[in-house]
Amino acid sequence: MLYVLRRPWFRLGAVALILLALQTTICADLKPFGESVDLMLLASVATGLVGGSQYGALGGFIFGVAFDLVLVTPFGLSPLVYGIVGFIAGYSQSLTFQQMWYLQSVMVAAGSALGVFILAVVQQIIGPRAPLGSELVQTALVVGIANGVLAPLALPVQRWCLGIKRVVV
Amino acid sequence: MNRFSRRRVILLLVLTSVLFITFNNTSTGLIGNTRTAFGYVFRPFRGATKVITKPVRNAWRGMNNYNELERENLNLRDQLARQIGNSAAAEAFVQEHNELLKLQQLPIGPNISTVIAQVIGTTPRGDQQTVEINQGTRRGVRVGMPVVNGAGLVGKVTEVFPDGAIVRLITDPQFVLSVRVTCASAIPGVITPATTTTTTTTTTIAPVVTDPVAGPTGADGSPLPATATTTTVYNAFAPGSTVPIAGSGGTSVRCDRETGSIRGRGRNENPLIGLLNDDALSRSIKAGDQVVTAGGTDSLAPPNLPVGRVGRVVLRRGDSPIVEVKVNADLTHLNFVEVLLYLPVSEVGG
Repeated sequence: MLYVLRRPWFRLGAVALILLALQTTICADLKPFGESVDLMLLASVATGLVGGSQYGALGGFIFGVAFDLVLVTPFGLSPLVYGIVGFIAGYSQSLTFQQMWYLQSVMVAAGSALGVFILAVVQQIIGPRAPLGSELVQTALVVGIANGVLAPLALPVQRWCLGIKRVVV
Repeated sequence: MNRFSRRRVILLLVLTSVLFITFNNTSTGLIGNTRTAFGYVFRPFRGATKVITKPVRNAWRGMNNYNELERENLNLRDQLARQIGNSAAAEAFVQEHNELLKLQQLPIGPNISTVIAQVIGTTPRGDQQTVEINQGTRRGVRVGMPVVNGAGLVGKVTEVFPDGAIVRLITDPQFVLSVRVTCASAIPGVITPATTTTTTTTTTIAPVVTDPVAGPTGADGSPLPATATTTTVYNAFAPGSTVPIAGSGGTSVRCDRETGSIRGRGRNENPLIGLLNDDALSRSIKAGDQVVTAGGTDSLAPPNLPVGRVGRVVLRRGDSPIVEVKVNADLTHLNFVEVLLYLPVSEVGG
C-alpha cells in the first residue's frame, strides 16, 4: 500500500486533484488583469523542469486530462498541449548547466507563456477558435508572470511528486 | 531511461491525446458521460476548497473592487429609481399588446416555467466562457435549456448536476443559436403604430443626464417632468430620438429583416450572426436593430427572447453581410439568472 502511495503517477494524480480544486475556485475568481492563472500549466512546466522531458510529458498529460474533465472545450486538447509544454520544459532544463532558483522561475514563466501560445494555435486547428493577437499576448504575459512568481512553491511540490531530492552543488 | 523508450512514451501520450480529441468529435457520448461522472465525484472537493479559500477570495475582491462597487451601487440606486417609474408604464404597454393579440385571436405566447438560480462560479480558463449556477436536475433543469436575466438571453445549459449546472455563455466560441434581426423599433411585446394608414403622434425626448444626487435632468440641466420617464421604458428607444407613441390608434407592423445563427467569439469579442441569405433584406440591417431568438420546432430557445442589438454591419460584395451583436446582458457581472424550463416543440412531441 505504501509502495503505491510513493509512486510518481499516484502523487501526480493527487496533486492534480488539489490543483484542480484550486483552479476552479480561487483562480476562477482571482483574475489579475482579467486573466485566469493556469495552475495546471504551472504544474506541467514544473514537472518537466524537475524531472526531465519524459516526466514532463507524463505530468503534463495527467494535469491536462484532469483539467479537461471540468472544461467544456474539446477533450484531449489540454493533455496534448500541456504534455508538449512539459516535454519542452524538461528538454530545455537538460540544456542548462546551473539550476539557480531565479533561472528556474524565468524558465517556468517562459514555458507557461509558450503553453498559452501553443494552446491557442492548437485551438485554431481543432476548434473552438481562440482569439489571436494582442489579447493572446496579454494572456501569455499574465499567465507567464504569475506562474513565474508561483514557481518557487510549485517546484518543491513536483520534486516530492517524483521523489527527487534537490542537489545543491 | 534510454532515448528509444523516451520517444515511445512521448509518442504514446500524443497519440492518446489525439485519440481523445477524435472521440470528442464523434458523438458517442463517452466523453460527456465521463465528464459528468467526474463532476459528481469532484463537486464535494470543490465545495470544500471553495469554503476554505473564501477569505482569500473576499480579500482579493475587497482590494480590487471596492471603488468599482461603490460607483456601481450609486448607479444601481439611480437605475432602480427610474425603473420603478418605467415598469408601471411598461405594464400598460404589455396589457395593451395582449388585448390587441386577443382581438386578432393570436396566441399570447407559451407559459414557460422558470427556475431562478444564482451564479456560483465562473470560467476556470480564459478560452471558454461559462458560469456555474446553483440549480440542477432536482429543479427540472436540463441540458440545452436557455438561461436569461433581466436584460435578455445569457446562454444555455451545457452540463447539469443534481444541484448545479454549467451554463455556456453567448460569447463562448462553441455557442450557436438561431436568431432573428428586427427593426430597431419593433420590439417583441410592443405594438408599433402604422405610419401609412394612421396619424402617428410623436414626441421628441431630451437626452437624460443623470445626477446621482439631484436625479435625472434634461439636456439644459432642468429636472425632467414626470412624463419624461417613458424615455427608458424600452431599450430600443434611444434618448434624444423621435419615437412613435404606442396606443394612438395604430396597428402592429411586422418588421423582420433576416434570420441566421448567432455564434460566440470568446471574451471581449461581440458575437457574430451568420445570415442565411445575401439579399436586399439582409442588406437593410443596420446598427441598433434588435436581435431576438428565432424559435422554431428544433430551437433550444423560445421565440422573441431579446439577445442584443446590432453593433456593426460589414457589407461584403457577393456575400452576406457580417453582423456583429452587442449582447444586452452584462455577462461579466452575472449574479441571479433564470433558467427557462423550455423544451423544443419537436422534443415535447417526441
